[in-house]
Amino acid sequence: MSVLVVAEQLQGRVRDVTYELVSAARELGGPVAVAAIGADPASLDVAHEGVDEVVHVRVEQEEFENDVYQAALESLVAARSPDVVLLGFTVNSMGYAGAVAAKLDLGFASDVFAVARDGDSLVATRSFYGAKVHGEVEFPPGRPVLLLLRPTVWAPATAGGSPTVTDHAIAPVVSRARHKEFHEAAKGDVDISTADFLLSIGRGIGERENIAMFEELAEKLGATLAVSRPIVDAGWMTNARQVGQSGKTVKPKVYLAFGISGAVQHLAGMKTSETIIAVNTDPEAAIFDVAHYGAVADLFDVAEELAKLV
Amino acid sequence: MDPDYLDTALNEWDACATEEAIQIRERLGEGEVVVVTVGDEDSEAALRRCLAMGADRAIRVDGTPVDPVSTARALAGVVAAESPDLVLAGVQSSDSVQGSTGVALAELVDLPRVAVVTKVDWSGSGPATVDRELEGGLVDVVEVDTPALLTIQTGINQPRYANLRAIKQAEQVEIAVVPAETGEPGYRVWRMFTPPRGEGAELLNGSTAQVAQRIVEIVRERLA
Repeated sequence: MSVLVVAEQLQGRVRDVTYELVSAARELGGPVAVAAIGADPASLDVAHEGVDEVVHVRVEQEEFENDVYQAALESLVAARSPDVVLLGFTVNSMGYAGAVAAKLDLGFASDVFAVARDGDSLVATRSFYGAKVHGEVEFPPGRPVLLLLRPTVWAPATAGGSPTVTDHAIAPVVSRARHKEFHEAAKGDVDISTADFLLSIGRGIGERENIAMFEELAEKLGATLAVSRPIVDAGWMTNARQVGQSGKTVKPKVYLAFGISGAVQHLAGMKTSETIIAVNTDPEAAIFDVAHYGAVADLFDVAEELAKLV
Repeated sequence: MDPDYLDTALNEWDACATEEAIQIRERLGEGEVVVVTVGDEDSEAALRRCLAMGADRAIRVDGTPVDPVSTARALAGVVAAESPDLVLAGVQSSDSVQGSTGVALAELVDLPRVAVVTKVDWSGSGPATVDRELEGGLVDVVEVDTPALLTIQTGINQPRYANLRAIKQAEQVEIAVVPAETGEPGYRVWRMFTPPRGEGAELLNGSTAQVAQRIVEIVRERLA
């Protein structure tokens, strides 16, 4: 099953999800081609273990712009007719994958976390109904399938392949959405990614006024306070303390979560913590899937008892 | 399927997209906010919430497409006919999390687009300057030609609560209904199952005091 992976790069650096896609592509058999799209594609480090071919697509734009990637991918699909195209389920991919699928009428699914071959056809697994169920989906026969794979599920392919290199030329792209500059979402007074012990709070704390008791508890425990996305969205804390894909990826010795249900993007940012303890009133909360210790309990009661002990 | 799994309420992303549209209209001092969804009659409650927040008109495309490209196809006719200056969509739905309907729609109606937007700066004509939220706390500032489609990320605003009078008024508004044309779906679900939950976690039982005691023990042991 021929697989085309589109490498993702930011400021000249290939992002880890690209190597995870290579591992997924190997599971489908291959051959595996990786498209390196950029102003200087040869500078992009994509020749990892399991890659059979690297395809250089030179474009004018230095950074990601969705019209550019769309034109490049459409041209690659037309020229190479891969059975499967793999992209990361990332912000960049969300900018053009759906457009390519609609235009070329491809089989398509996103946030896929397992792929398998069933004879000549492909089966992808993803969540439905707010992750309450998993579903296996299959695709219309006779056309390529474009999948956006969930980051941090597959182990990244290691460095050191020796693929062939080919060039694929495309016409210059007039971009209707142009990159101007990058900046940090928030400059923080704290670096949660280096802390050994994080006490992390989420939507379950309910009210802004309740943050204070967890700030005090964190101080008593010697922990650094972190938060999940809803707390930042509500404007109660800055992005600097946010754990997850759009915030920081953390790997503390202890991650103590209060009232965090465990959205996929949150789990991706903390699931490799050495010890995860989760307190949540909902026994179905996805955080318990990655937790080493779980307590189905009222988080305020547990927090009060903890405060008495330290 | 457990009926509890089905949720037709307005999701957070769509609430933020609606709020942003209303704020843009308020800033410009003119314009019209039209909300559109695809679904059966149950989905009209979400449209009425948007009307109560301050949207001017609502359209329901009558159909129940399953995948994002089919959903986009169902919406394309209405969007093309309305020919708006800006189309705002939520980044994703809370139930399916495909993150792709808006961008597929942009392609079908030939609009420039930006996905995962956390700030919109637009004077009402000419290009808009928007923030695109990347992973890891990085923001990409993008200049996009208009008309354009933007998919809106949560946190861009705090969606307003409608007052009781507005909710009552919204109940009286007639929602236009048009048929859906969806084409062939991009995938077919052939098996669904309930995933195992929390299999790896050791449950801490007992009173909250005992739970707290165990947590302190675990923390001390792991930090030692």
